[in-house]
Amino acid sequence: MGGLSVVGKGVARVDALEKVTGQAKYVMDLKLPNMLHCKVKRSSLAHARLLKVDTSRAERLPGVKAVATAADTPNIRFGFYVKDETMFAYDKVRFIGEPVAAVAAIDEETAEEAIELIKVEYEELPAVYDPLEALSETAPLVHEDIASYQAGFSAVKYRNVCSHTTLKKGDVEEGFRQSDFIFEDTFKTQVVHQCSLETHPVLAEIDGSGKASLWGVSSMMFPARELLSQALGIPMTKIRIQTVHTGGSFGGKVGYIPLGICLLLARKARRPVRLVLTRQEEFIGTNPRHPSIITLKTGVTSDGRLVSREARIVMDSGACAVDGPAVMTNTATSAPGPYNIPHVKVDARCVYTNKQPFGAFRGYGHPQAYFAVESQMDIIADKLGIDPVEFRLKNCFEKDGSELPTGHRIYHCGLKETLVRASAYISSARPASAENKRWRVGRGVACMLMESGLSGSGAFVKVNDDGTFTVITGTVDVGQGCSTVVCQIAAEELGVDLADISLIAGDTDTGPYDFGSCASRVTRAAGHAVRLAAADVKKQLFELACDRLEANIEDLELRDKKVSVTGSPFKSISVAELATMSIFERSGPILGRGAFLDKGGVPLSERVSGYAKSEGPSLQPATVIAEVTVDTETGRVRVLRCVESQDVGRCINPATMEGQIHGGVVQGIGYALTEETLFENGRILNPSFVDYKMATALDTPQIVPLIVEELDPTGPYGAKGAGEAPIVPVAPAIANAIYNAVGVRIKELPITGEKIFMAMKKSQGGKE
Amino acid sequence: MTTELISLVVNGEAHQVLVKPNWTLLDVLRDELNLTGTKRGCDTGCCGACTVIVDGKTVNSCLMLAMKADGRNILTIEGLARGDKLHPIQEAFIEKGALQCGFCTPGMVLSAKALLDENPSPTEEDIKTAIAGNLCRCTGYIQIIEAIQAAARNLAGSASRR
Amino acid sequence: MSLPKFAYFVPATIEEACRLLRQHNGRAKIIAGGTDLIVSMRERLIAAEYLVDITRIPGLDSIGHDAHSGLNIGALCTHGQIESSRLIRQRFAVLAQAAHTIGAVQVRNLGTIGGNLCHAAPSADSAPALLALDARARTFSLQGGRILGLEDFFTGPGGTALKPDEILTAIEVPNPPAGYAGIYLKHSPRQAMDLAVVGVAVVLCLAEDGLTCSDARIALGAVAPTPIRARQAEGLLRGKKLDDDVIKESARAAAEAARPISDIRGSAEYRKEIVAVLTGRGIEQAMREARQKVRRKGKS
Ligand SMILES: Cc1cc2nc3c(=O)[nH]c(=O)nc-3n(C[C@H](O)[C@H](O)[C@H](O)COP(=O)(O)OP(=O)(O)OC[C@H]3O[C@@H](n4cnc5c(N)ncnc54)[C@H](O)[C@@H]3O)c2cc1C
Ligand code: FES
Ligand code: FES
Repeated sequence: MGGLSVVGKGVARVDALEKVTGQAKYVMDLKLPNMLHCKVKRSSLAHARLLKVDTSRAERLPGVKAVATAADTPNIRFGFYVKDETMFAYDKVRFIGEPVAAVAAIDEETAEEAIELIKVEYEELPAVYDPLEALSETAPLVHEDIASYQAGFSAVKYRNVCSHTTLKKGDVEEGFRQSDFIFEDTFKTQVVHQCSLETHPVLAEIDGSGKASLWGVSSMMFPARELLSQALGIPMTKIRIQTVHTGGSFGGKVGYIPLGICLLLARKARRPVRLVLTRQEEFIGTNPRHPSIITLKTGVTSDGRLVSREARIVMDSGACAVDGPAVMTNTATSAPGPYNIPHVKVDARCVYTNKQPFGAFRGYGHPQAYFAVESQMDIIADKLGIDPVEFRLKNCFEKDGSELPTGHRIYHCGLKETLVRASAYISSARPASAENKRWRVGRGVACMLMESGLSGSGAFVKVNDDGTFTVITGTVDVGQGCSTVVCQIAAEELGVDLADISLIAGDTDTGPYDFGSCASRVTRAAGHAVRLAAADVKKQLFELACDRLEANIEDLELRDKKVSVTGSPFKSISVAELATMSIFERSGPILGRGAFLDKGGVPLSERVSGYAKSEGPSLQPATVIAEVTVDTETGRVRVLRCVESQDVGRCINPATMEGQIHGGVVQGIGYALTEETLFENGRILNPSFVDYKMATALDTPQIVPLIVEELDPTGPYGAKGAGEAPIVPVAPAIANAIYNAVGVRIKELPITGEKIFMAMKKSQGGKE
Repeated sequence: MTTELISLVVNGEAHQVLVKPNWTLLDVLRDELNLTGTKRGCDTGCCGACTVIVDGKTVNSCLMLAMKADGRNILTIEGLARGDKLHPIQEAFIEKGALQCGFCTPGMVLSAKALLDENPSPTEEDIKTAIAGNLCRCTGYIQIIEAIQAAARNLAGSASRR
Repeated sequence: MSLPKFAYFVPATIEEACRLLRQHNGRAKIIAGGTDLIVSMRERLIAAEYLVDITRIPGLDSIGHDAHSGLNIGALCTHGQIESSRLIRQRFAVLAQAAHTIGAVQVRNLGTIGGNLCHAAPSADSAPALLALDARARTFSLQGGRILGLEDFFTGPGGTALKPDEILTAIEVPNPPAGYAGIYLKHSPRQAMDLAVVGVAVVLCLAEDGLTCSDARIALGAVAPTPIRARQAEGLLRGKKLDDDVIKESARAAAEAARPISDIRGSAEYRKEIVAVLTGRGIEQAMREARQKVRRKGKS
């Protein structure tokens, strides 16, 4: 596809100017006249019956304008996958931090004071924190009436298991019989938080007609509106969600509970209400990444062919299902990795515990699965004495026609190419130089493949009287740069500069439905819808122009705000003139419409039971080679280099794409080495940036993005989803590099210096 | 709690503000002066989103009581550009794609400014040290470091031309 | 969470500050940079009804030196001032190194050395460096001032020997013998914005042969209720030729001196091991540097 003029260029982001000048407004920057401030009363116990919530003293405090509890809601259980959530706890509290009540007051201090005056009477219940314990027949039940909960799929629910996924292909027992070696390893992954730099904010206002306007960061505005409507029994016509700039999401900013709480309070107080979570609340009250325990039993032949794999997965869901069933299905179906394995059996259970509900975080189940899969690949390669890259190339999916474990065939998959590109750039073998007794250098490789794209998006394009265009989408830019990308796509299709496009996004009233900024779907789905809407406009302009230019539609082209006849540039008419003509003489204003369904929800595979994933047709393949040094005396690791090769299909904007890779790698380093939310009896011990350790600039290695463009015809200009992949292979690549450096294999994230130190000590002790 | 009148110069403009003792400089900038470019990401000094320059030095405005700002000269992100003319650091951030969600950007730009004011030709290590107190969850810092390097070159270029 | 309510005083003299502290005995707190205090108050770990801001009292933020009495650092000197002071970098480098590891630029621009010591966190980075330099704390109160050895200054986590109306005014560091060298090493998961899991300061002096240790001081942070000296480890170095065995033995003794707790930042066992590693490295590095100094002196 030659001759692209805007697509494929690393143009500056459309929001860059307002962001570098501090003019960009985020929800916490918005103020309305008479605005009140909200604070949430949260459960101090992990599991207790709620006997009484006495708000009377809070209500009497001067300056308090409204207090809300479960009594103000219809107590309808709601949820994306299993309807097990409520706005406020009403029968029981199930985790420390669960909202019990909320207050709106004239300032934050008064609201905080009021929260302290709310007295909650609990009857404490035995709690369960460990997912393996929660599976036992005698464990306390987090949800007693689980059987009655509705679910959006045929859920298998019993005791504390909120969903159960199995995958079966071939006969694993037979496979193990055919294998020369069998490996069995158990891996554990920890809770990590999205840590968007902006905490969740919401501003709510109810107008005279009773309609709620909510400014909130919701990366999934339309699904959030649906949940609010379900939960509060309000029609969608009475809920409008808008977003302004969003300070990061990474899956974490779905935010329907804060939105609902503010809506309730604004309705009660008849005044606008703003809630901004504190960093501590962000840690205890939102939905970070699921911790998991993954056991892989793998059979291989002595020449390095994978024959059979059995995986057992237990995923801790926390107190509610939220995204759990879907995240776990991703983990389950990725447990075989991107490899041709004839015999596969996976059993995965998502289990309730009395911890905060876990949710969506960049990678959505894949970081967990791939830490296990790619760590074990190296364990096997090491034992068989095969080069780890070669071992992967030998077993991994081909570009076209390979079969996923679910049975679906894949095409245009650049996975092998990413492996080849990355290992051509830097060998995965240990560099002999630059070592001494204290510091040992190691390298490790990991690859991965995940789906992208899901559900529908719509777009409109308007033609303005001066020949410029306005794009209206339902999508939200949470920071990743999709506003820029959709404008580039519109500009490309309409033959204009980026400056001739204006964008309206992030409003459920004006924008057409869009599933949201998730699942690496925006460029593909929203981008595709915008491209179709722009094409629709183009067609209408050509129809208007062909009479005037006395030419066939096929001979027309649109460029520089003019429609002209190909080959005779002087035969042209301006878009402005056509727009005006259409308004006053023909069919009225020109409106383009586009809608696209990213074929999520491919019919369920017979091989999968439980929550079935919507198998996106588009893939995100990536490979990372990491280079680390390990301090052999302290176990401390420094990552020196990360080479990440990713197949992104058409790279619409190399600058924003590289930014996704850099950011994903650094988040991946945190996942690998330092980040962890620590719990003690359901209470988070480190709800602050002091002890939740994200990488600083000084911890950042050299990062080399290598972009592979294996075009996918189902995406706009051949684009694939690309936002989530960068984080996924980083942790296993680092784990493998550490093993390469010092010979210890850590199977539990994060791989802290202390874990390495203790493992080295043990292995040295063994040798002595 | 009583209120106190403090005087401060923000972005070259003199202000007198009635403050409560328990307000921070960040509270005053955002809530009283409506300078919302300065962000609040943690309120405990750990993220750098609230970074402003006080008498030439960067500080976490969430850790500085408003009373301490009495009589001081403060630069926030809103005061960096001259009219439509962006500061070279701002230009470089746009040029190098050194931002995503933008929430860390104001603090990051100010940390870069304080660095380049003191050290016009920083090494990569100097730059990383200067922005180590500014967490960014989106960019992985790489393009930010490149932008500060580019800004340093541009500033040096324009200084030598003069 | 907003800050609790308090009244705020900005005394112009140290006497006035002490009077305010005495007047509101026990309910008033000094605020210097506020980087510890504001966070602790926001998290409701420390309560105070009155804050006495001592930063407008003149004369408490200068760095002075004379050949006789040594280095004098005003309690209000910020870590930024200390890490960039030429005097300190050249002659008391171990202290500049420690200051440089604290938080990040913004915190170092606000936080003071006095606050770092008075907050008395076991992990306070300037403490091991100052202990190894044998520094003293000078205080002021209406009853008169005191000079306290730094070891006597710390009484427990968050606790100091200061009376409620007593103010730390300066840190005094005696002039070390010529040819000494000092090193501060900090173990933390991140390269910046991190508290010490273990901090070790080593200060030592070599005899003219460039091999024999004539004096040594070792101090440890984050491994006991207060920052501590590892006296036994020091003793094992004095008068000895510093070969690998001696260093190893001293490093082990330092680890034995440590009485760490296990917490989310590290287990007691690991911390002890790290003390040994950092002490050994500190001795080696300080020795190399001291040896260069001896050689240079020999040549000149
Ligand atoms: C993000 C962040 C990172 C940090 N990183 C580190 C780190 O890496 N290493 C480290 O050691 N510390 C660190 N700190 C802690 C802190 O910055 C330092 O301890 C700092 O030196 C405290 O000084 P201050 O002037 O801000 O003290 P303040 O907060 O003003 O005071 C601290 C305490 O000391 C008392 N006090 C202060 N001055 C005096 C005086 N002259 N006489 C008597 N009492 C006094 C106060 O009453 C208060 O109780 C960090 C803090 C933050 C917020
Ligand atoms: S808000 Fe001040 S440092 Fe985070
Ligand atoms: S751009 Fe989002 S935090 Fe830096």
